[in-house]
Amino acid sequence: MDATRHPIVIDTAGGEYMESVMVVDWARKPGDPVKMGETIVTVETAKAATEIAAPHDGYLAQILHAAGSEVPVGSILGYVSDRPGMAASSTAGEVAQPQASAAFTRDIPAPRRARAIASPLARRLAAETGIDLAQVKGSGPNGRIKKRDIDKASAILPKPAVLADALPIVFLHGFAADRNIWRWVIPLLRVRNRVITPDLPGHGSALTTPARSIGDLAAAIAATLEAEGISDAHVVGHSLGGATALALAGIGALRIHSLCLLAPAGLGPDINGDFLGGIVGAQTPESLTPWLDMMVGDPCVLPAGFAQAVLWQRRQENSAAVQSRLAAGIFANGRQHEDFSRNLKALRIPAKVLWGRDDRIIPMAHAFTAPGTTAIHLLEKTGHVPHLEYPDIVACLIDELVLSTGR
Amino acid sequence: MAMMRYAEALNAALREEMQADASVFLFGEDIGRYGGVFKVTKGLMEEFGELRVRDTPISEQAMTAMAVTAAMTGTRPVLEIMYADFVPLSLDALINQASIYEYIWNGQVRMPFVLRTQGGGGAGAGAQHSKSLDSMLAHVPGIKVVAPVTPADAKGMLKSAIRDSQPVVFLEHKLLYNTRGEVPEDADFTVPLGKAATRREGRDVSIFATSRMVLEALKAADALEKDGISAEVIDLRSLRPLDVESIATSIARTNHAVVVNEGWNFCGYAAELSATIMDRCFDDLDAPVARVTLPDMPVPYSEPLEMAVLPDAGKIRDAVLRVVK
Repeated sequence: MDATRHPIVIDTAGGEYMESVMVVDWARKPGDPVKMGETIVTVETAKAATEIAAPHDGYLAQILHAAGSEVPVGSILGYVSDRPGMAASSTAGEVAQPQASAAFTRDIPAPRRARAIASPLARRLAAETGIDLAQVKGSGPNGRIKKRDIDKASAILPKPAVLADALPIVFLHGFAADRNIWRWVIPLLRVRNRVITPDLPGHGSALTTPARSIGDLAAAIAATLEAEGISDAHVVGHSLGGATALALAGIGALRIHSLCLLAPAGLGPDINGDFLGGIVGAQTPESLTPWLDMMVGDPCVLPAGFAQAVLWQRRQENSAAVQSRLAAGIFANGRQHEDFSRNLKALRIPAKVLWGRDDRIIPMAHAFTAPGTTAIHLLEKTGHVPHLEYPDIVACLIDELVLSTGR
Repeated sequence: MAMMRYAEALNAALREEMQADASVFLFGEDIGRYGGVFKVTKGLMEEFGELRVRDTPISEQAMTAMAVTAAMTGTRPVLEIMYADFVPLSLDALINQASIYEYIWNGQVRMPFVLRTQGGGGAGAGAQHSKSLDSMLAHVPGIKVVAPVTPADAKGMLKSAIRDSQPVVFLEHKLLYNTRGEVPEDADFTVPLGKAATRREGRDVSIFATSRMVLEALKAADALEKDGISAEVIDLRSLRPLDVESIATSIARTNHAVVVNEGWNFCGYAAELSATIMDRCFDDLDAPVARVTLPDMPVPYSEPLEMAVLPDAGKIRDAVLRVVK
């Protein structure tokens, strides 16, 4: 009888900072019992030490990277087994693959990995055709990506669409996230329009920009875009970022050519207040994980180590206090206090609203306040973050919207 | 057109140029009465006399210095150095005088002389008679270095070399003298220096070869066809100036390059080709450039050992299979 092996992984979820990590210390020896959530290994990035928790109850079955080794983010550091005595049966020297495939129900593009090995020609062709080398499997010596691999990939991967007079696409993230949440969707876009991913005030790089209302957020984004010299754009907004997009439309400084709203706030009164408090207040992976699970339709889609990475970045930025204050202003008592459905009705541009049928944060029913000219897409087995859960579908729908404008 | 051996084609080129231009004269060891060790100058002393076809004592230094000086006075000497292995004896006149005089005298002096020699292995001639010193000579600016492989090119390029106003080192190969081919008999027929020739077209890989290695590359291409690989074979013909455009054009189509030269690997002519390809064609390359060369060791006298180290069709095929993998 085989015991199930659970990979021990660190992945990025928040930070742009991590490319590789140094294994500092294993808290357990192979064979030792471990409890899910307790620190099993400490790794160090260029900036800080991070504790990685055991992914499962069981026994430390195997250490693939001993203390002192440097490993790419996404590598499997070792395995936890359901049952004792698995250490000996493990494949010694097994090469750690980026992304613990066992932790996914389907492939999500790897957020970061070490530089792809590719021939100069393959690299050039990939750049010309907009293919992400990270998504191509190399068939040459050392796994080198060659021209034939790019040819094969370009037959499968979506063809890039280059618009003559392409406008930038502005992506606005949700509450307690940051610009990095778009990293799964953006590589899958067929359109090659420039993408702009600002951080909302109180988040990421704009942590110290003051904001007390959705109007403040929209004003700050409008100012950022104006400073960039952007007068025309497509806008994609998720949750709080969706409400911000609608508020931005109301300001009128930016000419919006298409609007894609993912589970947006601002279309009705309801919101899960417990979630907002929980997600900002959690300080350990154990306390954060249930809230993250609530955010998605199927917890399996969350990259391994997501909770740790969120917490790691939160500690770096000390963002909890700022975001608690922001939530208190916008979503006090578990209610949405600002309604922008009138802004959506006033728009005369191609617009879509995407909602997960299993959204437990903002109810799907809010989608039906959209006017008849807005396309409504209700995604199955999807929670509150479709761009994380089904980035391919989201990318496809954004493509449709942008292509329909011809710009 | 006439079917000729390589040596006969060279002989025809010398005869035609001597008939056309009274300032062309030959000297070298045993080229007159004996007609040359490889019979390239056979019959020329009888036809043109002892003044224009001179047997010299064994001193490559003196012979080359004589060629430089004679060229400066306006004649067109063609000097034969019996083995490329002896060319190092003539390097002072070649590198310190011939290659720079036009430059340091601001174009008031021309250097229209040809140094014919032959190199390469495969004849059981031992370490002191089998070397390919191509890169040592091609390294020097101000000297042209050519290495024709077909009888037609042997004739056409030797005529061009004699008419050239710069020093030209004309590299022959001891195993080519008896090869046969169609050669134009027209006295105006010449082949320009500095142009490569595509000997076989292919899609999957470009093999760039010099001198006798072109023939080995063609054999390799035949074998590769059975492996399902379509190899293009380019005869570089001119080592300096190098036809970089033809190289780049071919690689743009095949994306894979194998370079073949009978000289040593380290600092060899194949190394120069690889670097040139990297400079010029990097973004067209789908694999690293492979070199097929003589290993860094003397050419053995023993036949089995010599065959084991000399680059040949089998080694070229192996390199191609590695590159297209």
